[in-house]
Amino acid sequence: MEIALTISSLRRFQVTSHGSRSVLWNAWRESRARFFCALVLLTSLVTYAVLTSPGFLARYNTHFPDKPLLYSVYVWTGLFHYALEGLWVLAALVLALGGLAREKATGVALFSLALPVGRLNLFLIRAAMASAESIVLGLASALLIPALSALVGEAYPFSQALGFGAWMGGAGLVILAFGLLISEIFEGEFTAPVVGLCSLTVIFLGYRGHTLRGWNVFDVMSATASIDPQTQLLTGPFHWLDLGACVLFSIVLLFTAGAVVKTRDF
Amino acid sequence: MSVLFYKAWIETRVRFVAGLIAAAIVCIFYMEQHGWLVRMWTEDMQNPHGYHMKWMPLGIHEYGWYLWHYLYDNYLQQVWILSAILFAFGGLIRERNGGTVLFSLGLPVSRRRWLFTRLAVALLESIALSLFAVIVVVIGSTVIHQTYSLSQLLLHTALMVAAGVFMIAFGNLCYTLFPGNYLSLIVTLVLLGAPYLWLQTYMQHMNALGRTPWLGYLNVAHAMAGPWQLNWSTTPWLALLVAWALAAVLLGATVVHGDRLDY
Repeated sequence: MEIALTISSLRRFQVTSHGSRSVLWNAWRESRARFFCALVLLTSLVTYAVLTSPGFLARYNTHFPDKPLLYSVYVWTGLFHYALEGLWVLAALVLALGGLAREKATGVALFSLALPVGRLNLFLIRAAMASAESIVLGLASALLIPALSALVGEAYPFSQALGFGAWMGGAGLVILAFGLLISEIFEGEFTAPVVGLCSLTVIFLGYRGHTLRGWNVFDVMSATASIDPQTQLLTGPFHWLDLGACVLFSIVLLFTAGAVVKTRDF
Repeated sequence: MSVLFYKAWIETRVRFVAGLIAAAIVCIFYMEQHGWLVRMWTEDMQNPHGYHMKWMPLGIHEYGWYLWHYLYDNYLQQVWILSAILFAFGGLIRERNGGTVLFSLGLPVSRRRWLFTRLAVALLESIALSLFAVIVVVIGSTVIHQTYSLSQLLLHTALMVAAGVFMIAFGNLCYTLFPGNYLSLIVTLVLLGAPYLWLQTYMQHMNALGRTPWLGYLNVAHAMAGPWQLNWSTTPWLALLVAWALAAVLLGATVVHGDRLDY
């Protein structure tokens, strides 16, 4: 009976599938508090930016009557290209942390490795959960903008918010993959976040200071090349090649992280 | 006692070095940007259709204002706050998660002494970080041939650290209440960030009505920056006292919670 259970391919598939579901549930349980906190952080920022927009726009347009600031320009420059993008990057990095390297440091890695799930699967399930959470964060905070805009007497197209949110989440997967990689390299509790934040700050400031030039993941995330210069709304063709480059780079980072997980002695 | 200090230093040295690197990056970046920004503002001021902001003449002619605005009122302050919070994380709670806390508790050292030693090291590292930023600014300013008041730089550093002790106490309490799985980091940022944004909204609204509400004294980030020309009369003493009082309350809560915690 026991032999039959062990050699049955169907049963083996069921065991693996159930194991994967349990690991997925475990990944959700481990990260849900971080996810909800990040959601509160991003929604607070969006709420603040939208609710204070009438006062800001009135002051700005009084100062510069010949160069009035459109609400859509305020939203893109203040949120999608600056604060929301920055906080989303921070949230994605924090959601990517954890994993077997951290469990090794706390001495519980062997419990995870003893489960009937491959170590690569453990990593990929965690990566899938972090990716889903990051995309939900991007979309939820972006879609809050048109919903709240109506409260302050402004209009922001739902499709625009959806487009910017999806683009930020899609291109930003490279940031998430980077976070997953460093979380599998460094065991220290705060080593991975500190290294990640410092590296991203250097890259960001490098582009801002024109030390680094050319292709820029932060500009791809905010769809800089696809917006109208006047309204800063998505009007031009989507630059799928840029998004493809981000996805490709994310896959390379994930493969590297997977190789680290597979070859590591826990 | 020195062994306890050494242990706390070993635990936080990677974060400290990372904090130094982050502070150096921010300081160097904004000093490197000074020439370009001044040229841009000057062109704007000369152009009748350009942007004319009230602060632009100060930004162009007062390097001290530029340093204060970009570093002590903005980016260096943010890096310092994030670093101070990270320095304050850890201690017995972290050891409990790692399963080694009983070794530390078995030593003839009280829980409070563990806590205060840990916080003292966090404070010393935060002070060292702010002084390191001063050194970077001194060297960087020499490189870009700019002059400034060193006493103002040191006064702003002292004010940032003095009001910033609240951040250390706050970070430590958050780590004590929400330990592990990086939850403490994001919870601290949420608990600091969300009320800060709402406070800013409220303050803007009250300023528009011409009122100065007492809630303004809770604006610790504003107290940490102070006015750009700092002296005895312009130092925000009341806000500083509020920050210290809040830090004492948070520290007291951490002590009480730590004493009652079942490890």
